[in-house]
Amino acid sequence: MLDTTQRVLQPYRQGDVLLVPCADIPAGAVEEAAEHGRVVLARGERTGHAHTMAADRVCYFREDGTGRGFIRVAGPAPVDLTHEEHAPLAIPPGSYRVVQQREYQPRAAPRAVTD
Amino acid sequence: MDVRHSAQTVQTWRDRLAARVAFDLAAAEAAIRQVYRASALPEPGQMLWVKGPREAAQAIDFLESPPRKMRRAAMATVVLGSAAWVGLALAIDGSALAAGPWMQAAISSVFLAALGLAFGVWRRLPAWPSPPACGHKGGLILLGAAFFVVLAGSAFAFQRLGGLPVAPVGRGAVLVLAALAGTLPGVFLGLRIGRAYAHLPRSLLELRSSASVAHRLERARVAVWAPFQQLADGPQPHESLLQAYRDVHGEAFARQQAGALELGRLTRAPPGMIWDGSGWIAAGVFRDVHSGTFGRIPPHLDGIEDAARAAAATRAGATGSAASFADLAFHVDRLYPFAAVAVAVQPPTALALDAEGRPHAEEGPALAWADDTRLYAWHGRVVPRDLLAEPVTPSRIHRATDPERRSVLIERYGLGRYLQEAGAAEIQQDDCGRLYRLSQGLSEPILAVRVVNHTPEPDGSYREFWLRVPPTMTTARQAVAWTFGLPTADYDPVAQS
Repeated sequence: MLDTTQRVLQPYRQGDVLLVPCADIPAGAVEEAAEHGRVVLARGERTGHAHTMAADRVCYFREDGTGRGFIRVAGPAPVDLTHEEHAPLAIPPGSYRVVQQREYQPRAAPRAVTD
Repeated sequence: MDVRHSAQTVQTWRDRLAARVAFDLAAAEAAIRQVYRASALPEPGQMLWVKGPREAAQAIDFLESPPRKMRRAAMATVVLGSAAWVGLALAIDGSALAAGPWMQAAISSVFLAALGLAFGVWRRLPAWPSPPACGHKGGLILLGAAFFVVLAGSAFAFQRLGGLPVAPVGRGAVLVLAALAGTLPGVFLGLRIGRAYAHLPRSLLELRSSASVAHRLERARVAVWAPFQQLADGPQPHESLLQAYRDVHGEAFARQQAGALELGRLTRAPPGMIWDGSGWIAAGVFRDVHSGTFGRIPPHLDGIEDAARAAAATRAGATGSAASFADLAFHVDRLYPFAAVAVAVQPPTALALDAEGRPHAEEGPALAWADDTRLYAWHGRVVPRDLLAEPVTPSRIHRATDPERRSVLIERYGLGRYLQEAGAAEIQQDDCGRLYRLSQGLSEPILAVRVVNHTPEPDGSYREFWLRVPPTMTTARQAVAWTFGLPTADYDPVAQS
């Protein structure tokens, strides 16, 4: 079994999405509604595939001003992060910052990777 | 705040910006009236709807040279033409010729002035609301030919007659005839003007002034949106720009269109051609998507440009002036506000965006309006149509010297495929992936990290990805951490799939 402290500090990754544990959700973050009972963390550009979680115990927040996304997973058990092309990933209860992978572009702002 | 309501608003905005909302004329006109009222301006007497940016530019061309002005110019052509021909008649008469070369110079000047004026008027004839007139060049040649034929014919006739008749009656009659002949090109021009304006509404033809009220509206808008602006600017300007893109798409892009319109390039599209924005590209207007400087701002309020703030205003449940500007941004692609007339552009018919909300389409235009204006874009970067249309070959990539063009071509070809074929060197490898480097002569080298999915495909193989990273990266771990915006030490996922 994993050490609890390590579990809090280390991020979870599913393809192009990384969940970085954080102490709390910023005060300026606004909750966004779920779509058909699913919380969508990121959506693929071409395939329409998406990284989603069941909305029962998961809330998605977006911080005004920075656009950063956060999720809060309520207890007691972990909730699966699912994607059409990846194995489900059990995310333990807690708060996380949602990081979308990006790619370098010469002379421009980095661009998000969406699989 | 009601979460459900706010999500619905965001979704409605996404639909609008993806061109999935049908154009609602009544709502759009109401929104325009509202912003005039919110800015303490009288409502515009006339609303002029155009289908896209090109038509808008043509309509504004039209407002800048209204029929009154054009007709005055045609009258001047008639007068100058008559003067030239009467002068010619007198010059051919023996006694006048004797008056010396100054007389000939004077006649030539008047003749050239008439011709120049006619050319100028002809070029300014409005192409709106019809597509750019096909006969622009042909018409000019015809007009010049008319001048020449009438002039040469008159000169020949006078010479045959051996100068002007001596009797006062005959002499007067010939001079009147010459004056009438001189009016012919002017009359021809007048008829052409009449035809160009024939199908326009009378109220528009009688416009005396179209003075712009853009500055007043702009001030009102800035005042109304100051709080939303502060919200959007936040502590991290780059992130907030990204947020604006994500939520409502393409602010910088809209600004670029503004710059292009100002150059007046839209009206000069070759007839019968689909206009793909390459003129804008040639002018360098679209060089840098993130550029903040666009020279003089033309008199317009841009719907997409305002969309970020408008969506924020809508989401915050704002009422009053803020709501009216938000409505404007929602219903109108772009507004050119004048005191007497509001020129408004209908929203685009197609708008394809990437996951970050930047205009992007791999096949076909990223933006299209009903007036056949089309724009091709690759992740927010406006590109010529041929860059996306023709197949990519390694030799084509090598020929592309511009790094931006080259990077688009490499992406289309496939980054991994290109790097492997071009002989990129593996410079480091660790449990995060492999780091490759390819030198590109004087340009910065291409660095890419090759990573493998942790979940096998249905056939048991593992899918590979190539991600381009900054040229300063030295290890695969550092590169992958960079792609998630983390310091190398912090990137250590406990679980992956």
